[in-house]
Amino acid sequence: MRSLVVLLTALALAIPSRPAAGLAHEEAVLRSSRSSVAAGDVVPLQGAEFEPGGRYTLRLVGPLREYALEAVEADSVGEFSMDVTIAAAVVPGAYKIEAVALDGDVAARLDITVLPAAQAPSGEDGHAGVMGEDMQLGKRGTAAMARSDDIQIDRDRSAIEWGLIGLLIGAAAGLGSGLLIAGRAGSDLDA
Amino acid sequence: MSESSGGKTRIPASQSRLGLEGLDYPIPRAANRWTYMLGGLTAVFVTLLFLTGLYLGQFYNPNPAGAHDSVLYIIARAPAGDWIRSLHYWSAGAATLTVTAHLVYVFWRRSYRKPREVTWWAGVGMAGLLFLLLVTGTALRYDQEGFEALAHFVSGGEMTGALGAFFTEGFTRSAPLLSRVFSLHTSLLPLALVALMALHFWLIRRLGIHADASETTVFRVHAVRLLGAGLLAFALVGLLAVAVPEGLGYPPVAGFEATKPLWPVLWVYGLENLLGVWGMILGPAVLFGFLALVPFLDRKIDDRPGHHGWLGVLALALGLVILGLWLYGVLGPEQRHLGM
Repeated sequence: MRSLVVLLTALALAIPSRPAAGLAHEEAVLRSSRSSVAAGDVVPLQGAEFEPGGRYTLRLVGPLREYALEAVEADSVGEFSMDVTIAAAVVPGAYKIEAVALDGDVAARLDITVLPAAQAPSGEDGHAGVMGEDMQLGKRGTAAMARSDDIQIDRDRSAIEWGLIGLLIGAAAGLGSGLLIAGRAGSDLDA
Repeated sequence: MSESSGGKTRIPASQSRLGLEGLDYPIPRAANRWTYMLGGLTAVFVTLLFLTGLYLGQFYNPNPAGAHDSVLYIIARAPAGDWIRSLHYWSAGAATLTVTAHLVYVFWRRSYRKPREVTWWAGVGMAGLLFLLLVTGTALRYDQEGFEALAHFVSGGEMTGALGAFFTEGFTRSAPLLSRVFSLHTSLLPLALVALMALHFWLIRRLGIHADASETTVFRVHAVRLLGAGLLAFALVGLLAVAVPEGLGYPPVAGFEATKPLWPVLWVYGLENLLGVWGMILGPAVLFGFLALVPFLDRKIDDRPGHHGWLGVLALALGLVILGLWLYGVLGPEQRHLGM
């Protein structure tokens, strides 16, 4: 019985600790002198601790969008240095530049903020563009662009999600009713 | 609640291990009425807000560059994110309703009188914190409505000098206002709320509730009923979150006011329509200032509920003004207050 408990505990701990797909080889390093870049501009990028001679593809990944960048090959000591162009069509926002190995694993990530072309940071560092007034106070535009209505969002959910939500609501309603009835019966008890 | 055997009271082992017999202290039977469960139901909704907020915090990006996209991500891609965000929204609305009803009922009962003044002030403080949590939460959407809420914070901060310095952009160059409002919404305000809740509950435990104590029951029965009511309340807001999911506006455009705030704040919006941007400071200051002064203002010896004298008339007038301002906020046209 004890060994069964140990085995089940080990399994329970092992499942969440299993590396998620795409994280297994994330041991290399991506660096840049800039933390933000205007769409259409260039980001200087340095890689280190990659597999020597390894080939990687770079991609720009945001919460809702993904853009392919360039391919790169690490040198004999696992390093590279290059300028990556962020297309002018990239929607401004918070992104990560990911270096993806041929087997699909992500080898390294770097946070980067893409700014609208008109809001390019003036300094080399680029921090001013992220923290400055423009980014805090939203994009500039015309009165017609300021809208009070909601975005139409695709809210499709899987059957499993709906099932779990339904189960949770149903269980709460059932248990809640039961407890209220039990509490009513119990309220006849005096202290 | 416990079994008798040979003249001795025997407590089941599972209950003694959890110390549940400690819940069997006497309380007035009236505590099991719905009107006395409004505070407990508010605590249930606050718990729901904590749990759903913890989940949303795993996906939310408090940087202005990524905030709106991250909310869209929560709605469209995070597991059950749309439902949990809507649950957060509806729980906030439900907490506003129950805490308002609780305050009104406690006021009518005149339960703020000696020795329960501090219990009342803790409750008023919690109501104020819930109001602040509501408006800071609105800003985190970072759509047009959220952006305009942030712009109001900046404006209010500039008008109130050192008191409102936190809400100005000049407070620090190292972090955007949105990130600081996120930190306020998820750490400082909840911590203050928990501290006041602890004080409120402790005082209720020590002083008891203000009710007819001629008939009593035990707290455990009340706790079971409250848990049942809380689970039913969760089921209700859960259904609302499915049936009426909370939306999200378009990314913000600076320099324009095109939206109205969330419904509990519409009375302040109505006041801003009349007084300009000062309305957003004066309105809540008058309301919460009045509530804080109530124990000092009610000096009548007569202890009966509803017999407030002139204070009751004043409270009724204030309530009617707020209702009128709220209706004006709901029905009136959208107006610009900041001169952006």
